Amino acid sequence: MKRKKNLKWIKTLAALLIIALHICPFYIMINISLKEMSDRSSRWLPAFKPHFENYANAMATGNLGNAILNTWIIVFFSVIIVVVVGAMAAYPLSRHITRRNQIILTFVVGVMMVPQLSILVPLYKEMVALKGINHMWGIVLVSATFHLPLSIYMFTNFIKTIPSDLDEAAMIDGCSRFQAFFRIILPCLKSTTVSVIILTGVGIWNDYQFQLYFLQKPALRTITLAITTFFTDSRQDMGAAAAAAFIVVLPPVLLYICLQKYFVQGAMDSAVK
Amino acid sequence: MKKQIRTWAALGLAAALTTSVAGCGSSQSTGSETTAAPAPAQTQAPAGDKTPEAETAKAEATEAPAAALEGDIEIVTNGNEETFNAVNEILNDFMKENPGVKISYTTQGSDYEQLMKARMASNDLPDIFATHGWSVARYSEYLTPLNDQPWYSSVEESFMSNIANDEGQIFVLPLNMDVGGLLYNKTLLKELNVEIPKTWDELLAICEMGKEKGYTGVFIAGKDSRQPASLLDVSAQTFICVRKDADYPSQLLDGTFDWNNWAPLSQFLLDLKTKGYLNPDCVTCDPIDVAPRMSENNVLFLITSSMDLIRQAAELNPDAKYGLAPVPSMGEGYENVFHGGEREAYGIWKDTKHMDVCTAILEYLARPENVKKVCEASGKRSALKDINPDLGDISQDYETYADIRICPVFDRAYLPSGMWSTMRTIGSSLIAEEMTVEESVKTMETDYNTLREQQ
Amino acid sequence: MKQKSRKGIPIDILYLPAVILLTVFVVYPLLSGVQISFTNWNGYSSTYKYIGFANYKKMFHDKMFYTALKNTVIYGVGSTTLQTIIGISYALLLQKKFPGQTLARVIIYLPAMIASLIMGYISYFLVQYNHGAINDIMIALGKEPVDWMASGERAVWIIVVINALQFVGKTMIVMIAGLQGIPDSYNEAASIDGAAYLQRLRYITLPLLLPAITTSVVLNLIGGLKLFGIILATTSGGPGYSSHSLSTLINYLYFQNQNAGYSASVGLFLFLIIMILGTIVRNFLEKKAEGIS
Repeated sequence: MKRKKNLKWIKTLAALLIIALHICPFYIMINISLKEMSDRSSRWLPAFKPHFENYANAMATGNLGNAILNTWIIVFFSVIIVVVVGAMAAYPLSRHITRRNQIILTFVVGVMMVPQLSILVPLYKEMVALKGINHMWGIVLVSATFHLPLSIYMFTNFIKTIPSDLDEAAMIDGCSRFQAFFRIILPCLKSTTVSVIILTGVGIWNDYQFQLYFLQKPALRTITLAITTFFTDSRQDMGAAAAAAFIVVLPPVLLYICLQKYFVQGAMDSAVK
Repeated sequence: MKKQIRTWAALGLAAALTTSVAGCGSSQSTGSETTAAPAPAQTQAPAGDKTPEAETAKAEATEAPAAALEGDIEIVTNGNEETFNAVNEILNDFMKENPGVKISYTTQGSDYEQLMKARMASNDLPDIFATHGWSVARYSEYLTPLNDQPWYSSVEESFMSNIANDEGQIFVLPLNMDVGGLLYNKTLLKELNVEIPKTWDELLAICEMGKEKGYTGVFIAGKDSRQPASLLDVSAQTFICVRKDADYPSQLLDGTFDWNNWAPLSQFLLDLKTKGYLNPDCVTCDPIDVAPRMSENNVLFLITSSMDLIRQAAELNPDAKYGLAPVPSMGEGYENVFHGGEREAYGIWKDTKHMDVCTAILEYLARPENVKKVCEASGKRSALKDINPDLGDISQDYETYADIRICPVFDRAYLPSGMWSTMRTIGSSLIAEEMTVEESVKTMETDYNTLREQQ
Repeated sequence: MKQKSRKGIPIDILYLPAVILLTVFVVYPLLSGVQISFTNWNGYSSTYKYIGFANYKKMFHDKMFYTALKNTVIYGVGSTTLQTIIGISYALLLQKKFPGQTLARVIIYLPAMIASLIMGYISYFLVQYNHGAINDIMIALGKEPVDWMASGERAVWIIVVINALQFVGKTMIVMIAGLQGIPDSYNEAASIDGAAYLQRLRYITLPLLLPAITTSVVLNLIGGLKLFGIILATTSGGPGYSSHSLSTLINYLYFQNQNAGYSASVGLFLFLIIMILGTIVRNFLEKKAEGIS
C-alpha cells in the first residue's frame, strides 16, 4: 500500500515537471506582453510592474474584436458543411462497399495529403474567376473542402464499427436506405461529430494561407492574419505582438478546457476504431 | 511606450486637424472650383462604368454637385505603420472632400509581394497600389502611364531614372525615397576617435578597433534574408556600379558581365563574418530586434537602406545617436555615392473602373503638404521637388552630403527581376558560412542567365 | 446488399456533394498545377512557354531541392517518432487518476490548439540568441550563450522538437483513448503471472495499442511532411536555404524566385512523397494490427 502511495507522489512530481516544460513558452509570451519595449531585462524575470498598454494597443491596432468575430463566422459555417457533407458521404462509403466506392475512399484519403501550397495559386485564379475573393462564402467553401477528407475518414471509420444488422433491420421494417441513415445511423454519430467539430474547427481557426489570399480586405481580416501583421516588418512592437498572441490563443484554450472530456471520448470513438 | 503615446497623440491631433482641413476643403471646392482635375475626369466616367453599383452611383451622382467623384477604390501598400497612418489620414481627408468616394486602404506587410503576384496572375489588381521599387520591371504591364499628370514636372529629375522605362514613361507617383548608405554610431566613433570611414578599408580598420572593445562592427538581422541581401545591394553601388576601371553596369544590362567580378563583394561579406565583425547572431536575429539592439549602443555600423532605424533607436534610448553617410568606396579617389530608390510610390491599375477617381487621388497625394506629411511620418526623403520636410537629426546629414550622387538601387536597375531572391539566398548562406564565395558567384551567374531568358 | 434503395435512387448519391467540392477546389487546381509544371511561367505575367520536362530534370541536380527533400523527411519521420514515443509515455503516465493528472493533460494539449505560425513566433523568443529564454538560462549557469538556429543542421532538429512538443498532446489523447479500450483483465491476468511492467508493456499494451498508433502515426507523418508555419516563423528556411522543407521551398520558388513552373513541379513531387510514404506506413501498421487481432 505504501509503495502505491509513493508511486502516486512520483507520478505527481513527473507531471509537474512536464507541466513546467510545456508551460514555458506561454510564460515567456505573457511576460513579454507585460513588459515595455525598452525593458531589456531577462524574459524569465516576471514583469513586476505589469504594463497593460500592450493589450489595449493590440486590441486597437490589430482590430482584434472584429477579427475574432470574422473567424467565428468562418469556423461556424465551414464546420457545418464539414460535418453534414462528411457524415453523408461516409455512409455509402462505409456501408455500400463496391469497387467504385473503394476508389472514391482512396481518393478522399489521397486528398488529405495534398499540400495547400501546391494548389494555392491555381486555386486563387479559380476563385477570382468564381468571384469568391473577399467573400465569406469563398473562404468557407475552401476551408470546408480541405477539412472534408478528415471528417469523411473519421465518420467512415466509426460507421464501420456500428453493426450493419442495425440498419438492415430497419430496412426490413420498411425504411429506405436514406431513412435508415437519417433515423438510425445519424443519431449514433454524436460523439464522433463532437470530435470532428473540434478537430476541424481548430484547424480552420488556425489556418493562415487560405485566409491570407482569399480575404484581403481589412474588414474581413481574421485572427491569424491580424496577429501575423504584428510580427512582420510593418510593425516593430514585440510587446503588442505577444499581447495579441495571448488574446487570440485564449478562446481555443478555454474551449479545450471546457470540452476536455469530449476530446478523449471523440478520439476513442473514431480514431481508434 | 513613448512611441505609442506619441502615436496616439498624433492620431488625436490628426483627427482634430482633419475636421478643420476638411472644412476648408469643401468650402473651397464648392466656391471657386480651383482644382482642374475633377472636370475632365467627369467626362471619362461613363465610359468605364458598367457595373450595377456604378449605375446606382450614377443615379445618386445626378443629385450631387456636377464635379463629384464616385466609386469604391481599393488601395494597397506594404508600407510600415508610420507611413501607412500618414497616408491613411490623407485619404480620409480626401474622402471628406469627396463624399461619393469610398477608399479601402490596407497594408499587407511582408506578405505583400506574394499577394500581388497572385493578383497579377489572376489579372485582379487593386485600383491603386504601391510598387515598392518595381513599377517598371515587374508592374509596368499592369499600370497606367502617368506622364500627363499635373504633378509630373515636380518629380526630382535625379530620381526619374528610378521610375522611368526606356521610353521615359513613368507609372507611379513617388512620395518618398529610400536612401541607402552607411549608418554609423556617432558616440562610439567619437570614443574610438576616428572619422566617418570613406573607404571599405577604413571601415574594416574601425571594425577591428571596435572588436577589441567588444563592439559589433556591422549589425545584420539575418533571420530575414532581406537584410544581408540589402547589405550586398547597397555595397554593390561602389563594388560594382561606380567603378573608374570598368563599365560593369552596361555589361550587366547587355549580358556580357563576367561574374567573377562579383567575387570581391561576396568575399567582403564573408570577411566581415570570419573576422568577427558581425554580431554573433547575425544569422538568426529577427529584424524586430534591430532598433532595440542599436539602442544598446554597442553597434558601430549598419549598411542598410532603412534610415528610419535612426529614429527608432533614439526613441528607445535618446543616447543612441546614429548618423547617415554615403556608401564607402573601393579606395582613395573613388566616388562615394548613396543608394536610393522609390519607397512609397503609387501606381494606377490600367483596368481600373474608376480612372477619374484614381488620378484625382494621386493628385491629392501629390500636394506638397501631403507629401511633406508622409515624408515626416516615415522619416524619409521626398521624391518630389521643393518639399523640405523636417526629418530631425538626419536632415543635417542630408545637407552635409547634398552633393553626393544618389544612384538607383542596384538590383532593380541592373539585374533581371527575380535576382533579389538569389541575393537573399547567397547573402544569408555566406554569413552562415554554408556557401563558399565561388558557389555564391556561380549561383548568381546561373540565376541571372535563367531569368534573363525568361524575359 | 442492394444496389439501389426502394425509391430507385442509389445511396451513393450521398457522397456526391463531397466529391463535387473536392473536385472543384482540390483536383482541378491540382491539375492546373500539373500544367504549370511544364512551363517556365514566372508566377504573374500573362505569357509563358511550355518547356517539357525541363523543370523535373532540373530538380535532380538542384542542391536546394535535395536539402529541402532531406529536411522534409527529417521533419516528417523525426517528429512522428518523437511524438509517438513521448505521446505513449505521457499517456501511460496520465492514464489513471492522481493529483495533477487533469492539469497535466490540459497543459500538454494546449499548444496543439495554437496556429503553428504563432507557436513558431513564440518559440523564436526561446531560441533567440540575444535575450532568448534558453540563452538566459545558459548564462545563469555560467555557460556561453549559443546561437541555436545558426547552424542549419541544428535548426532542423530544433524545429523537429518544437513541432513534436507542440502536437504531442494530440498523440497523447489518442493513446489515452487507446489505453482505455484495453480491458483491465488483460493486464491483471498478466500481473498474476508475475510479468514485470516492462514485459507487460512490450507484449500486451503496445500490441493492443497498434490501431491507435497507426492512426496517430499516419496523421502525424502527413502533418510533419507538410511542415510550414514553424519553419517560416523560426528560420524562414535559413540560414541560406539549409532548413527549407519542400513546403517552404515551394513558397520560396513561387513567390520570391519567380519560378512558378519549377515550384509547381516540386509541389507535385511533395504530394507524391506524402502519398507514397503515407500509404506504405499505413499498410505496414494495419497489417501488423490485423496480425495481432
